[in-house]
Amino acid sequence: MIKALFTAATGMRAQQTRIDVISNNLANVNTTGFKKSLASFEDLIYTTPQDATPASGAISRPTALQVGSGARLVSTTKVFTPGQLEETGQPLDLVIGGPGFFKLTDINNNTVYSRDGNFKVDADGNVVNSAGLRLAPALTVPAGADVTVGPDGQVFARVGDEAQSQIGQIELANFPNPAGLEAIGSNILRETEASGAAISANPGLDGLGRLQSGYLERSNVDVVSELVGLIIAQRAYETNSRAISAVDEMLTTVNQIVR
Amino acid sequence: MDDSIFIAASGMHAVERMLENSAYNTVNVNTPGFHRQKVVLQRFGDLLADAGQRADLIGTREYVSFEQGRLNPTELPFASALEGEGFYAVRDPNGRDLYTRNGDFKIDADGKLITRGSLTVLDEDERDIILDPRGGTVDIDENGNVSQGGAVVGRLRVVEFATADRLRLEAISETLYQAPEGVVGEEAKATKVRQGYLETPNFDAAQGLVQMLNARRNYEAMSKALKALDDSRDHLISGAQ
Repeated sequence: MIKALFTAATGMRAQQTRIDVISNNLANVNTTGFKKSLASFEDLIYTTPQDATPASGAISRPTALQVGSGARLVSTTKVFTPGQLEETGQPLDLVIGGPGFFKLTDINNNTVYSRDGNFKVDADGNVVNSAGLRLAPALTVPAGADVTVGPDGQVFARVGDEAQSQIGQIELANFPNPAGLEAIGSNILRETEASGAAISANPGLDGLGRLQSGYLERSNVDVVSELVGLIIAQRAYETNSRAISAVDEMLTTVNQIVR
Repeated sequence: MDDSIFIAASGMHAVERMLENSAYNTVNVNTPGFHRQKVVLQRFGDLLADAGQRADLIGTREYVSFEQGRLNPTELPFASALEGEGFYAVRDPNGRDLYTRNGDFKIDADGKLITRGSLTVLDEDERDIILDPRGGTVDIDENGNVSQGGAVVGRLRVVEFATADRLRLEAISETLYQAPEGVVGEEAKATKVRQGYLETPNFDAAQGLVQMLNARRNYEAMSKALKALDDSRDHLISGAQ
């Protein structure tokens, strides 16, 4: 009897996680290069021992199936479908047309990764992302130069009337399991044990996408499907709360048998 | 002393089990590959063939109802639903063979195809399926052939059980099952693999609400019966004084 109470509570918790994930997706509907998350069910094995009475017929496991008391987990998975492109005309606004991540150096000199290709030149001429993290390997643009970025990641600069010269090469990274990357905020992802080690290559090689200059990748969040998910999660939450009130009413019934 | 009051109490217990079951199913209305658990009420006399048991007490028996759920499209790249009566063969870290209909697969850091709960997904020769992170998109056809960049990497092991055996599968989590000893699945003939879809539970919130309402009313009715039996004893005792 009490068990149904706890079961319903775990269900409400699971739906809450779903709603949290959906809210975060909706909040980032306009974040450049944002990849939405999905709440996934993790089918962990229960440790509950089987306590069935021996079978005596075709369909006979009288109680052993009552393993799932609802203690279920929801994990989140990043979905790396491409977002829509937005034309900006800025040469350092880059989109990866396929799999791959830009490599950045964070303040602790670790390499971190992002799909956000909104790059700028800082006061020292370094190419940095919108949060000020430097592109890795470092790329410095001469003052007053016109920059062009080729689809294979080669970066050219031209100062005044001088001939165009190559100033660097943008590398991309991919992972055996990109969904295992850890999001650490500001559109930045970090390598984890689950993602596997980064595989670096130039754009267009080793299954990586090619670069497109002058565009930004919009968030891949689709508002309509997120709202549908929100409705489903809310209704499931409500239904679970009904289970709790049903148990409560039944307990009341028991208390009323004897005055 | 007669049994009637115990019969009413056993009925109330049975309804409690039904409610627990509805709560369990309801919790899983969004769990891909989940199949509802059903409770049937039975007389103990039928349930326990042993002599000497109270024949009219009400007991419960539970089983998983493997009716096909709807297929819902998903953007997860490896997700594949089963259409038909088959199961994916997976293996846990202890080498135990398990079965699931939850095709929400992912790959691990080594490129191995695994379930959301990190169990190894087996190919038809019971080996791991290893994908190359540089090898391009992964396609899974309706026969379970996994190919990457046009080259076949392996074929998912999908098995079917005879109806009686399927009902004897033991649930070890909401979507994982273990075959009892001696029960082996045969290579699936009629089951199709549908990449890009996940199977929704064959249970929805409306069914859950109806079951809970039903359980509540049954419970009340049985408590009334219990009360009536108590009252008649009360009459008897006070009449004797």
